[in-house]
Amino acid sequence: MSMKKIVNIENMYKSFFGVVALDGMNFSMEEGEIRCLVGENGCGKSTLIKIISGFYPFDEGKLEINEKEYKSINPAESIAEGIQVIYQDFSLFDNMTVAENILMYSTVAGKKMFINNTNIKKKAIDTLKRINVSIDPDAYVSTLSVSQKQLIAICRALAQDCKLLVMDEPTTALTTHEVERLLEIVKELKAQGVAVIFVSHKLEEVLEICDSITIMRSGRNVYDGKTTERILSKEEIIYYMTGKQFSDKVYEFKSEGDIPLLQVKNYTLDGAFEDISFQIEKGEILGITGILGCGRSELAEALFGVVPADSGNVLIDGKDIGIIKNIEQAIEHEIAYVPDDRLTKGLHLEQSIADNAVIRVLGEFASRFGTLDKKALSEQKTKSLSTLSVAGLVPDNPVRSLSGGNQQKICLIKWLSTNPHILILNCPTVGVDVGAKSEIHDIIRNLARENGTAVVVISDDVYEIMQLCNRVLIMKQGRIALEKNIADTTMEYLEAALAEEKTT
Amino acid sequence: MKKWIKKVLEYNEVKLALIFLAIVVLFSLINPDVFTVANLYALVRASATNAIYALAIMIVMCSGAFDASFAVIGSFGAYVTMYILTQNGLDPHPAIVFLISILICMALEFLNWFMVSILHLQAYIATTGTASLLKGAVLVFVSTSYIYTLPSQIGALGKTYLATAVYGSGIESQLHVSVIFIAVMYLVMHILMTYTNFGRQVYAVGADEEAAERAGINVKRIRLIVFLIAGVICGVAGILRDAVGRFSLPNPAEVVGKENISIAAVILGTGNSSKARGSALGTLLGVLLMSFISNNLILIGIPSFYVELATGVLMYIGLVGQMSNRPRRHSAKEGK
Repeated sequence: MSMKKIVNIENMYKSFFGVVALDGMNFSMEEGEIRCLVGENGCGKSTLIKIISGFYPFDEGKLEINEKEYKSINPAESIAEGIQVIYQDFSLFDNMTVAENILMYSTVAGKKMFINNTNIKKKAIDTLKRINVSIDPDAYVSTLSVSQKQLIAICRALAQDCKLLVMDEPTTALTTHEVERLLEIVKELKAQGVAVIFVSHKLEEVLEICDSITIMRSGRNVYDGKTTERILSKEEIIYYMTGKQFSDKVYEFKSEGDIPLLQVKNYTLDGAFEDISFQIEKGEILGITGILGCGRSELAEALFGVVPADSGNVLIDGKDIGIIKNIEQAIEHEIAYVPDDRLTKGLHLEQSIADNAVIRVLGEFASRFGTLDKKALSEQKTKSLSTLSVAGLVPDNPVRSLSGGNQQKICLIKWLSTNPHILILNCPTVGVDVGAKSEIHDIIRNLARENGTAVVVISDDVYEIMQLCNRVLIMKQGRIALEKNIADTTMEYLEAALAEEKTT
Repeated sequence: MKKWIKKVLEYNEVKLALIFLAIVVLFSLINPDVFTVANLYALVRASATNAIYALAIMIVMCSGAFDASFAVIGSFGAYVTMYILTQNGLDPHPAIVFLISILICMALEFLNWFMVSILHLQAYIATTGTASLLKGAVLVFVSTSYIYTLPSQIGALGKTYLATAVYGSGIESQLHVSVIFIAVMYLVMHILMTYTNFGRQVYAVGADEEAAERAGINVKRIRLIVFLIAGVICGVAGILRDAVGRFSLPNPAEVVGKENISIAAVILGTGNSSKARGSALGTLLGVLLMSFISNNLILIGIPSFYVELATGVLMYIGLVGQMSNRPRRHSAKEGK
């Protein structure tokens, strides 16, 4: 028995002002299927979704929705066919209640003159129940957390008699626990006959949840398959996405027996971490991992003086400087910190790429009167930007015009131009696709190898730590539970260690 | 019980009403004449035009746009209407007078819409341009003189009172018929914004244009209707001002240049709580608060040159008073 196809796309082409976004794409979805759509930034995933949801017309090819052929489709028609997209920003209305948001699409589509608020609330409660969520239907969306907002977006899709739910990067903003919850809900939806397209960068999730995978590269599908027939390895997925083989070679570090660049002794911040001691030498890349709430981010912030520790000592080049009390002091000792929420706080999105890249060192190009040496600055811009490969980089374009992964690279470059001795990176590749990830890793490794920078990488991604670091610390409940050299351990071992309740 | 009170207090309109009440009580303690029917009638008369104009800017602001030209458009529409009628010696039914003015104002708001929604110009700048253009155009192309001979029934409208009351001092105060205009227009707007699909879509567009588009809302169409409704309101307000003032002139000083009073009323009425989305009730309370203060400062013995200063201070107090339940921004950490 062949299942009914909800979406069927054959040989589709789409270009924007001469730039090809879809280049002979084939794609199809069956009822109740969970399909993961993976690909690097700029591979055409978003374009594909926007064509299905009626936002972009396509140039050539065949589009069938619910076995009906469309020469063109608009958003309202797409919604009427039961296609719902949950965008990364959720597209909720902050100035409305949960109930109003959940029923918004049907309110608009209903085209009735008056609205029935009692009915809206009743239907919203029913929908919330359908995925077992308890959120006050009268609460205003502006008061909700990110994960609650996402649940509301899912409810809104369901309230629409949704047949195909497209989730664009649904897990980037969620904690591990919330992701598990989301995946349960997705499975529940499948049981209710809803097909789900899962667009994600996080390959673990992809492999865990889906029935089938479509991998895109350069505007076309390069792999289609059911996970029941064959499970792709992570390396294979990366290969299909990028067309390149990535080595699993561990970052090698040879101690030169110098005094450690940074020594941390008995560092304690009440309620966050206690008795943390470690050291890091020139050119080392030290990973610190642990589940959310283990104190890893607090430790990073304490080392940069954002929230200073209560007690302990920091030795830099063997010199005891006590506690790092504030950011100025940290910068004075050539420490740089790239926070985890850099996308919102780390870049000036409207300013040009080049300006963003040099903003940390702007002061060095200022004369006594505060005027800038334009020529030297533009040389620095070129130098900074030459350290990375960003597709279609136009230095004068605003940073906003770049994809998420590329924005991340610019953010990193911005900090690297200060030539720090100690670089602390908090989750450097969250929400970045594998290709960009490996480039970012290259930049970090080069920095450690060539400049002798001591790098501390905080990450919840064990795979990343394996790829990037030469040593790892696992933190649990504010303490260091385990220390290992990457060369002496395996990913499985570290994951098991992380999963254990408590290591003594 | 306590929970119930807390929930009610979350509504900006409730808080604003309490602030209004507190100021009424305070003023009444200083001068008992403040808390009289007569004074209420005076308040209606003083705030009539601004109250109606405030509705025009309110609906535009609810849709996330802005209109700096509403008062100029209304005044222009009314003056041109009166000019055409007197030049041609016409004295039509008042409904016709209103209709002409409304049509002129709708055409001008259509122009605003075109610039904002089609040309994607920045709303504040574009509509400021409209205002400037019209202010000058009426003087250059129409006339600079006052028109004292209004159509007879519009003139009569200006002198129609529903009731009379007397101050303690024996001075009479009358309830002007414009109170009916205000009541009907606010009621219609309240129903439109609260109970209709259209109103819901206006709020959606105001919250997030892109999200509204994704919800299947035709953003351009909603904005068009919003601007046209603003045109209707301006058309009515312009004629009403002429009726109350008993003559028509280009750019009347109590309207043109005083747009900020209506805008402030809308902002006061919207508040900045998590439920902030603008409402007819909130706007009405905002208008009442603003008019009450500027109207009665003299009654409680504050010299007239202090009026603007005191109005400013009281507006600060009003805005701060509403801030108590601003939504707590979820920090990046909480969000993760």
